[in-house]
Amino acid sequence: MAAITKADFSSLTILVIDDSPFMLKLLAEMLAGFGVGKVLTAATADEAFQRMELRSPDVIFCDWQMYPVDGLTILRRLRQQHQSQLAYVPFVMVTGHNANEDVTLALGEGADSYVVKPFSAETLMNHLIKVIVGDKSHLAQLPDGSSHGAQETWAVE
Amino acid sequence: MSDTSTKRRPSLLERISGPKAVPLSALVKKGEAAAERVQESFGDFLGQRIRELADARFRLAGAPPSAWEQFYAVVVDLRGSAAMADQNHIGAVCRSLETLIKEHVRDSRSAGVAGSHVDALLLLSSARQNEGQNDSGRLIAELEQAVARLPRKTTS
Repeated sequence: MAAITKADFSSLTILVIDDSPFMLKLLAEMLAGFGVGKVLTAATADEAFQRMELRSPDVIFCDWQMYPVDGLTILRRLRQQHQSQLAYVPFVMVTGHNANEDVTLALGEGADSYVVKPFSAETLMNHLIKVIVGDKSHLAQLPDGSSHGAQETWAVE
Repeated sequence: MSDTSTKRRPSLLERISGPKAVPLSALVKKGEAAAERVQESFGDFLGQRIRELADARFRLAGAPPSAWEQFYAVVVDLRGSAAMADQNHIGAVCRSLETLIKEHVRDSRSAGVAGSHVDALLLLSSARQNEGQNDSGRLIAELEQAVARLPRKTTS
């Protein structure tokens, strides 16, 4: 596949989950700077799931080290929701730890990418593009036979 | 009648590709500019987090594990945020404090050394940018030595 050199993120909704007000604002503003259409934010797991009930995000960026419910727990809960499109949403784990076992654990639990702080805007963009290119959520078959996102009707060109 | 089998939601890749797509390099520049604006507010955030640590430090001696974990969560957050704001000396103090909490026995002596780390954060946050970099290096080294002298947790 040819490398992605251009993008228009204005149709995307991205959810950022972080209990740090600074990191939440930083990530949200960087994504808004990229031109992402809608950036949702949540400071806790409960808040995140409430947001997702109202509007399913296209991509999730989630901090790992949160208290009392951490990012890994949120990821596991998402991936267990087999009857929901949330089980297939591209998920990027954000963390201050870069030990190999941490990376392996997060990816093994279903994270699509893993970004270590500190990171630049370019690195953030690379991770966003990576999960978008790898996204297969639109092809996922839900138990009722519909495909992911089938509640919306799209014309086939 | 509509045939849903012939319709599908476009992929994310399809959705970001289109006539309005602009070079990623230009979007990255806008992201960098946004980050710089937010980084200017790091001082306020730092002050707030240090106040939380200062309030909690006196309750650490004899505190249950949950209190230490809550304290640890603030330290980890501060380290990550400091790294994003290029405040390496703040991050180094936090790293030393993380080592203390995760690898050493949590007793009154550890609580005292943890308090010294909070004092160091207060000192460094009140110093002007780039002021006393050598002094901060020495301070951080002394904190690390104090942590190294604490008894380690036994692994079972």
